[in-house]
Amino acid sequence: MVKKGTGPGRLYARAVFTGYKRGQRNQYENTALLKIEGCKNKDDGKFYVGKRAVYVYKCKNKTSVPTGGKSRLRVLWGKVTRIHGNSGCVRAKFSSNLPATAMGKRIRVDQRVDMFCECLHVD
Amino acid sequence: MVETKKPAATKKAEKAPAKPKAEKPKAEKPKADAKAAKPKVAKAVAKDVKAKPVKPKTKLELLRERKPKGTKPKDKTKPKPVKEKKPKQKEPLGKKPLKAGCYRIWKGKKEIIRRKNYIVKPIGGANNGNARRVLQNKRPAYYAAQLNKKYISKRKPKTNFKRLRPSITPGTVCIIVAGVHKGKKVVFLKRLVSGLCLVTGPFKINACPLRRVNQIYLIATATKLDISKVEIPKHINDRYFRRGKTVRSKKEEGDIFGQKTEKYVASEQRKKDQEALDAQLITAIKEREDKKMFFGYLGSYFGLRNRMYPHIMKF
Repeated sequence: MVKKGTGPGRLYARAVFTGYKRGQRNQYENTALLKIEGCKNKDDGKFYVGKRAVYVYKCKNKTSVPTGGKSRLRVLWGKVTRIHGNSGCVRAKFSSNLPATAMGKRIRVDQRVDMFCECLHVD
Repeated sequence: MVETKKPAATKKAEKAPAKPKAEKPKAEKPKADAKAAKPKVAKAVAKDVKAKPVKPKTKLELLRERKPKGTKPKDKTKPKPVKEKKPKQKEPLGKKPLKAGCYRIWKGKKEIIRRKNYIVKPIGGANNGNARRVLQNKRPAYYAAQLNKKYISKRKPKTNFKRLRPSITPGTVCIIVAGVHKGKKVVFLKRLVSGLCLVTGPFKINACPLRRVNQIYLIATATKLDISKVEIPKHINDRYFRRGKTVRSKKEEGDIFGQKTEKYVASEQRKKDQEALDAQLITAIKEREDKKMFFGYLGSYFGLRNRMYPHIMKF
């Protein structure tokens, strides 16, 4: 039987929002660059393409939550769109652009694939 | 289809080329025609249908069946609301009572009553001309620019719907990635017609009931349970899991948007089915050598830890 005390562990991969897609002097905030933990090359990065990404943050005011009740946690959903570079970084697009304050902060990369995305992980 | 057939039937020689065309749809769908036809004709056709086994007639056969020019054809045309009566030869013509909106025409000695395109209705008002023509068959209110337009859903899932990940096979232990049961390891039973996966805890082990889950929410592990002997009852399908519609009475008092979320209680049927299936699965687990570990495995939660990276992990 499942012990009541222990809940599920972390089910998402940890990632960091490193910055926006950019050239040297121009940046394009609609696409975010994520560095996923443990992801060191293109092949590793390929695993995450299509997976959902979440930016979780806290706010002062409580807002209602889908599961019921109210919470100070807020969320921005997005998905990993493609690989970025050769070292395992990844590009992601969110429902609305990530705020700049999120840079350096945690992004969660879910194991679920975005339903409307072409690549289903082959397994 | 019906409309084109009727005029062709009466005008024998004139529409000889058209008739075979008109007859052909009749030949192909004799039964459908019976439904679409007007009452009297329907009976006639239905009789035929009942009498003999209906074989689609070839064009040639139909042509042969047509009576020669000289004889009076059996009149099959009927205007819509008015029933046609064949006049006796002695009866003076033009004395049949007509309903409103109908007129009569003659084809030789035969009288045909047809419905007028319009009816003249009296209207009031001094300057309105006393009468108006009202169309009996009104023009459609809308003419589509494009007929039979196919609407392509723009937000269509691109993934191949029928494809289930090859790693998910009946008996595979899967990890549920999100939802109420996230982190639990469940046994995949089968894929339902809707495309969703039927999984179960088993309930006794980890409190996950028989449930439908999208394959997106599952990570298949390499662990496979042998469920070849497990019989999944046939009544457990998509309808079984359908959520009941909350019928709201119109006379409900209070706020429509008032919080009326009823807590979900499993029906007796569900509990029975769950127990039955669980028993089967547990016997299947007990046959394994590593059953103790297996029970523990299913009962525990999955979670990523330090240095555990999903892209490297073999589940």
